[in-house]
Amino acid sequence: MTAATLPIKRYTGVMDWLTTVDHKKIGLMYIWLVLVMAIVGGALAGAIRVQLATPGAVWEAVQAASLAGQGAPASLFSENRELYNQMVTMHASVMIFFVLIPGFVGFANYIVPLLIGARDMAFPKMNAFGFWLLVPSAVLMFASFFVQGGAASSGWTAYPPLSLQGAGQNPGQDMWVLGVHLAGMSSILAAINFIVTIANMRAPGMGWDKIPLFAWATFFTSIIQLLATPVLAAAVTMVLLDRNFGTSFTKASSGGDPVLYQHVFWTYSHPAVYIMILPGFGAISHIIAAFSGKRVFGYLGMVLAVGCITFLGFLVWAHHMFSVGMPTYLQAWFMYASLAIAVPTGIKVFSWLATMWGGNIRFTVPMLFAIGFISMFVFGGIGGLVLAMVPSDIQLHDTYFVVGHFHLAMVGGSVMLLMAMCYYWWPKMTGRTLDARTGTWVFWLMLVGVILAFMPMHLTGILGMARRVPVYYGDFKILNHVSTLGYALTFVSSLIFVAQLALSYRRKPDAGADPWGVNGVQQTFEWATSSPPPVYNFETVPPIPVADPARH
Amino acid sequence: MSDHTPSSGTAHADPMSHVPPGSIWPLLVTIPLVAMPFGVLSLLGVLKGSPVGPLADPQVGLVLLMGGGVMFLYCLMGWCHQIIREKTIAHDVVQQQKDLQLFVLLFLCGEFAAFGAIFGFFFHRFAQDPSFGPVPGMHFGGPLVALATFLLLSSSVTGEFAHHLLQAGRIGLARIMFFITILLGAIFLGMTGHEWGELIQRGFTPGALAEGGPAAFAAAFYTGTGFHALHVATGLVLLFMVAMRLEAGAFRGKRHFAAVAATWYWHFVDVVWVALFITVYVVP
Repeated sequence: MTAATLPIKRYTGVMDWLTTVDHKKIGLMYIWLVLVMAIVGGALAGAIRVQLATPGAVWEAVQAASLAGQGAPASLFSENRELYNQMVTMHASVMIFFVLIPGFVGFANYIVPLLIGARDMAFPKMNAFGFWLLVPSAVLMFASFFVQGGAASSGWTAYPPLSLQGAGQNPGQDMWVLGVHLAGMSSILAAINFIVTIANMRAPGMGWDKIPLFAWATFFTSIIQLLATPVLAAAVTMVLLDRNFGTSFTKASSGGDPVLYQHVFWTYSHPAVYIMILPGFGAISHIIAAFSGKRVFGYLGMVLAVGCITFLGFLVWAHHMFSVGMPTYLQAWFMYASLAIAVPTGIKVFSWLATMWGGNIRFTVPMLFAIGFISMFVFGGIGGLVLAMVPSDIQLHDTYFVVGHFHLAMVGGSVMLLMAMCYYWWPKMTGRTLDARTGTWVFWLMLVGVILAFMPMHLTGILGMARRVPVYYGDFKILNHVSTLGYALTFVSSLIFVAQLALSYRRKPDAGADPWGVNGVQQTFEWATSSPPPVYNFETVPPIPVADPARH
Repeated sequence: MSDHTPSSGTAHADPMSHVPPGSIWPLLVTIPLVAMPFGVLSLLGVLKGSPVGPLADPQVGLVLLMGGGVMFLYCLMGWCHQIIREKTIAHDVVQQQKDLQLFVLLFLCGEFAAFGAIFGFFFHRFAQDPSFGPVPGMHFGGPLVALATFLLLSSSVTGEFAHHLLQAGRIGLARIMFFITILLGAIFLGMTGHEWGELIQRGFTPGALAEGGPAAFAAAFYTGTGFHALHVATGLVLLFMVAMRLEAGAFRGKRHFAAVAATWYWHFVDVVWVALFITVYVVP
């Protein structure tokens, strides 16, 4: 052992955070970046909601004013409609690339090595690199607001020919593409790291059949990230080349095919929606089992269901584009395959309910969020079934029904999951318990806000309101006002939530190793070490219980 | 089990000895990753008239791009240097080798997915657009490409020889084989460049060709072969690093995974070229 000959340099203070390769510190940095970005992305959404709540957004009012020879009634983007498109695009990009995807990566970073009894990730430096990559990515995306023509404005899907507009003059779209490249690189590196960590670094005796569900879900999600993200990079690169290098991948006028871009894009982006929710599916099993005082119902079924969603997720992308024109047999295939995903998802939902069934349920804040997630996600999922069916999708395509559906699934689903995970593991991660009363307020505000904001969108969509358009007919006014009210509640609850997390640092660590008192039921390793855990996680790994940890 | 996995049973005398030291490189390497995209945008001339005006000067762009590139390579070197230094304090090198093997395999899976998108484009267009292909009479392909392909395939064989010779401890022969592999790869790269130059001279560019199938094919051709050439260049850098370390006296013991990884990557580049060769030259 030559350790003595080579002095190990240990940094302290700020330098310690800047140079850290500790998965716990990196996880916390991810989570704080995500919290900040969530507020930024939420503010961008606020601009959209304010526009849609002002009189100037109502088409009849604008029309009447112009007939009477008066100026149009005020609205936020009446002077600059292009800016509205930028808001829509950047809200989506921030929420997807800087909140939902890295959010789960952050929690997985902190928790997964603890769950499997490892000291760190397999490649600690690459792990740090994956986090820091998000910074140049964010710099590129946000700097694009300040260049000529402003930020990207063709929606987060960047469909050509829309995304080819302003080529050679307005660099916003190009900066967006380069930002996506960097975020994608971060995603791929994190995915490889998780797969290697989970495959190779489990504690002695933890076979594949004993891996806790959150680690399993992270494993499958990483497979999606690894195989799908390069395809996204290829798709947006086609746009970049077409804009700047005279190629014609997506230009129909010169031998390219814009529909092919959509196929390539959704080959990534449909699996990507599972990147944004699958890890939470695993984590929620821990939370529900812990606060029901029972074993996870159907461990094997849960694992297989996640695997099944992973596999099917790669085969259904074209249900996003039924209306671009494709042969009927393809439409039928994509419709049936999409509907088939409801089966493994249903297995998961019913297994969670069965876990709660007859249990000794404790309504702690994480449990509230878990139950809120299940109810909201079921509604979001049913909207998804409506959209998976070709006849109804062709009617509802590009209306607010679609917006309502995926926001219910992403905010009612993924965001609720992230908040449940945060309340559950925050005492472990920082050593500080969170006040249950504030947490309960956050939960109810959030739940009511989500219902008010996104349920009415289904109706406005069925009535025919188009998405991404800042002006609408007067019939949709009341529903839009309700949505904006719901948005306000959601945003306020998010602010309280972030404040609660920030203020918790003022107190001294007060959480014991097992603050929820769950270790009798939920014998996962993270509760066996101190809160927060020491740098080396465990001095010795606790022996795997006779009945294995994953199922308890 | 891994170095990072604590053993059950008695406590380690000093668990801190398992904790790897911090590293500044992952943070530093993000600086060129900001600088280089801005350099590219500046060189493309799209930053003109923006509040970031001074950046729009192509000279500034060139400095950003080149300086960023140099700093990127410097950071990578620093990073590798730290890893090589830390090997001496690592606890379980055998497990690390297993981790790295899986890493390289997974990374190549991701690369296959990226190339898959390119092949997907080619075959989608072949199926949809009969005019998608080279213009007849342009002498597309030919003996030079066949020779280049032969050389690249041979280099894969010599690379494999090098790997096995290294395993057998026959350092002298391994050095020669690595040298031949690098030489063949460099010749391939040069031939690709020559081929590009010839084709551009003959007017095989998206701009010069009739809009439609031929122009789209030319664009896809340059993108596909260019992306592949980028991988050949990366593979050459990896092989070169291995050769340098071999000269410096590394890999004399049982462990030489860096060499194995470089040859794996090289085989991957080779396999992709065979597929690309068939797609670009044979199918049309």
